[in-house]
Amino acid sequence: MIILIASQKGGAGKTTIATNLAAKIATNYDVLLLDADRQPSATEWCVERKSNYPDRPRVHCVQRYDDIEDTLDDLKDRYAYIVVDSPGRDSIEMRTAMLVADIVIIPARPSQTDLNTIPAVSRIINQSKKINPSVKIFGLLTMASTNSQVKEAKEAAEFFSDFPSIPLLDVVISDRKIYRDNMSEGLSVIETGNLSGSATKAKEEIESLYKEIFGGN
Amino acid sequence: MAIKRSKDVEALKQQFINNVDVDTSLNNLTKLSNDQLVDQFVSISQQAALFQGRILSELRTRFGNDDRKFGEYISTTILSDIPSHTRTRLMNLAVFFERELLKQKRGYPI
Repeated sequence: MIILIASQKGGAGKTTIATNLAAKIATNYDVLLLDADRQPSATEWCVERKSNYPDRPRVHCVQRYDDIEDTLDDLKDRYAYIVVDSPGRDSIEMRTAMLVADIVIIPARPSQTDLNTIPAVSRIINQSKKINPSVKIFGLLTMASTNSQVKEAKEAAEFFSDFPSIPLLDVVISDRKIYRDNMSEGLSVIETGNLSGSATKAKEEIESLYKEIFGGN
Repeated sequence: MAIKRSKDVEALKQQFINNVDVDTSLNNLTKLSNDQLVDQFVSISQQAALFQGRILSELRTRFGNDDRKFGEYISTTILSDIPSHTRTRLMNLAVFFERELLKQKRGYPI
């Protein structure tokens, strides 16, 4: 199964979602993290993970650029799951991965600049569905404020309702330092030894994301 | 509905891929938004980091197993301005990429 994490804008938390999801999948399945972004943050995470935590569930990593359709087509038979981290813009990598992906997750911050990209993403998705009609698409709000007084996430969810081609997941990924700390360590928040309230909530967010996408499998 | 033949699908695919909206040439900076300029800056910085890692890695191999001599040499150059943990991170990244490239060239399964 190929899961593409895609957005038209950098800084939406694609790599955070890709690495945390890959590490969660790795607890039960053979998973490959394909870094298609020339800003190789996912690869850096893999390097750190391999070096700092060699005993953690293995997340295989590889970098591929440009047209990655054939690569994904080949690799999908070798791994139960492939998570693709694509560049934060409309790119050949994103489009070619969309042609073979089973699931596309589109992270977006609940900010005007991120939401402004959604109409264009929606158009690209509609085009890709002509070639890959079975692909499942999900929008995902990321880096939401943990301050309950800030209603941005709710407003962003209303914005998404205008784009039925991108159904929004219920789970919202919040802006938490624990995500950044674990990224630089090569860990997932589900693996952290941090017992703080924020770490627990981050863990719940990733578990919920996994359940919502895969239906609790 | 007309059934699409394989050559039609291929043409549709090519059209879809060719429609990609990228223009990262430095000649067209004026056309980019502020956010796109920032993204491009970060992208180029990251690519530079990979090259820096490869250069450091090459330099390191010239000192064999002698960490001390390598450290002494670095201390006499402008590279001493880069913290040692940053140098190590850059080299690790470069080594990782080199290994993957080698595997690819040799046709090893990933």
